[in-house]
Amino acid sequence: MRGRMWKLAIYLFLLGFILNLLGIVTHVVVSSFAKRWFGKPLPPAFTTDWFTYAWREFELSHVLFITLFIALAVVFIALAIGFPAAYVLARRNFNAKPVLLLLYFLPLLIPQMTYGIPLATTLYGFGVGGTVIGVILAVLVPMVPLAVFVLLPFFEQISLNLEWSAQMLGASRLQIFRRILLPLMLPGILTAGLLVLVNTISNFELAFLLAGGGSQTLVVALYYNVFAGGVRPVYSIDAMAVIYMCTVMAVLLVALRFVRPTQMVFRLDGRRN
Amino acid sequence: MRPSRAYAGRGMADSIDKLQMSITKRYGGKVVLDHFPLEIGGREFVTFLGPSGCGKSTALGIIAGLVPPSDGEIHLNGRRIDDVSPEKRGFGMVFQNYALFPHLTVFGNVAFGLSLQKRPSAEIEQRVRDMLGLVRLAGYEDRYPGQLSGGQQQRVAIARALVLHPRLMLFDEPLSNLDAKLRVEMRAEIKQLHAQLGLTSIYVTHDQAEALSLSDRIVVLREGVLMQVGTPQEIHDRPKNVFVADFMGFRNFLDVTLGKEAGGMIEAGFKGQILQARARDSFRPGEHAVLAIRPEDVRLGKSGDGVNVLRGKVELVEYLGREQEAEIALDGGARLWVRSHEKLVLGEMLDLTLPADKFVLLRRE
Repeated sequence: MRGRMWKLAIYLFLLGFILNLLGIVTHVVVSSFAKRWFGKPLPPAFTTDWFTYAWREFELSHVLFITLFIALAVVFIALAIGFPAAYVLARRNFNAKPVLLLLYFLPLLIPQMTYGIPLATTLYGFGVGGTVIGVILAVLVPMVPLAVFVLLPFFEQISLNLEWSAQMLGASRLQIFRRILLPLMLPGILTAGLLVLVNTISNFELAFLLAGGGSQTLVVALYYNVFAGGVRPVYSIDAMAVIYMCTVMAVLLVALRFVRPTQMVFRLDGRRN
Repeated sequence: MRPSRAYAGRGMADSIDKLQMSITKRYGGKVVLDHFPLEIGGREFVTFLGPSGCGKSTALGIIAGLVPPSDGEIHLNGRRIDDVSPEKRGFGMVFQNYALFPHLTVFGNVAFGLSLQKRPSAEIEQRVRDMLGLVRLAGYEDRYPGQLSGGQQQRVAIARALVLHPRLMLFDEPLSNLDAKLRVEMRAEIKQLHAQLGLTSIYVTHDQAEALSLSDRIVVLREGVLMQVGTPQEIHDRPKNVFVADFMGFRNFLDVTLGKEAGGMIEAGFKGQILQARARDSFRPGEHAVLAIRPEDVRLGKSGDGVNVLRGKVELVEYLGREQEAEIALDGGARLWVRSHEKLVLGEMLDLTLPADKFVLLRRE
């Protein structure tokens, strides 16, 4: 009896959650296609004008380009720094390792606003505030640790013996990296890259604090336009939100074609010594 | 056995002439290897034998160059090599857990070293196929390591190292992950490859049967200290100390006080009785010592001359298949293990003869 009630409660909760989500999303989507929509369950007429309006008025091609550029740059740099860092953390044991791991974890644990403001002040001091570089540097602060923590377990399951046996077969460090570590780490690199990509596109606080006129990402632009108020038709804002949703979903779908996070861990033989 | 075509191109392996070393390894304050001395000649099969944690794998890692020594030098053919990086030493190594590259096929694994050397692909193809034939894995080229059994994986690992004609082969407990039957088979294969290809091999194991059957020489280690070096027969028949004797299957250690020596025999007082044992240099009358004897060397019944006869009661019987091993509580209070084909009955009183020439006289530790 109790088991049944539990199941029912869970189903009801799930149903409510999905309806709620669908309701919000559908409202935004429907509104973005509406010519005018007042007090009726459905708008009387549909149009795609708001999309062209938003695209033109909010310079979305530029915003999208900036967003993707920042996201890809952050992915590249976070992986370039995170890969060797995760390797060292996985392979070496030293006294300060737990402390170092905790320090790495901090930017992921504490709210971004708390360190975002002093970080922004510092970056403005260096003259990169309001620029694309400033946004990239700020977003890297939580994204490098994220890359490290995703890559770390992937490294840990690659037995040191594999590197040793490659070395005994005549491989230099570079050849071990290229022929053994890189192919075996590919799932990890893709997972880390995907998570950093999505997190960067949807990062608001740091991008907001650092972005200037020409370096707004999509979320930041969306925020500014929502609160510009009155002047913008609400339908055009909704159209922009739909574009934002579609961008993130497109990136996710493309990424998931190559990466399946749940099946990421493939069996490597060999116990760790 | 057909002659090895895999080695035909360059004759036999470019075996080393001599490897000499004396190394010390410390981890933190702990000494893992204490001035471990070793000298190995070309074509030799040397085994490092000892319980886990005795430093044998560390010693192998240092020879390979994978583990830096804390102190000491390694000389190969008279040239110092401890500052040469592992990939430039030209040694082959086989690991306990195979360490095959999971993303490469069997062919890719065996061809790995050759492709690093940028050999022409026809030569790589030929040498890999010959080598796979030699380890009886022809036809498995396109399989991945995950699709092979443990024994097959280990053969791939051996082929992967051998295909490069290593000057020295290092085996780190290569058979420990295999089941008992396969272990005996692979043991024979390794021995055959060693002889057939004229290899120089160092083999690490904790299995005394493996060490005895494979080696030209055995090096017994305990907590980083060399206990004894010798041929399998020397180690088996004439262990130099209680540790080696214990490791080689001596199960009975009698604490004795030595008496007078005459005609190559020495008297040993044991629980109020006098035993006779073969005398050895450097033992003096009055000294405390240990007499070691294997359970299978203890005979049931009284000897003709009544020398070295002890009496006791059967306390425990272990069934071993063809034989049984029993623990006997001696009249004097000590215990003795006996192995016999005859059926031993719990509680039975027995006379036991300990043949004087089967005793090994050892120093008390």
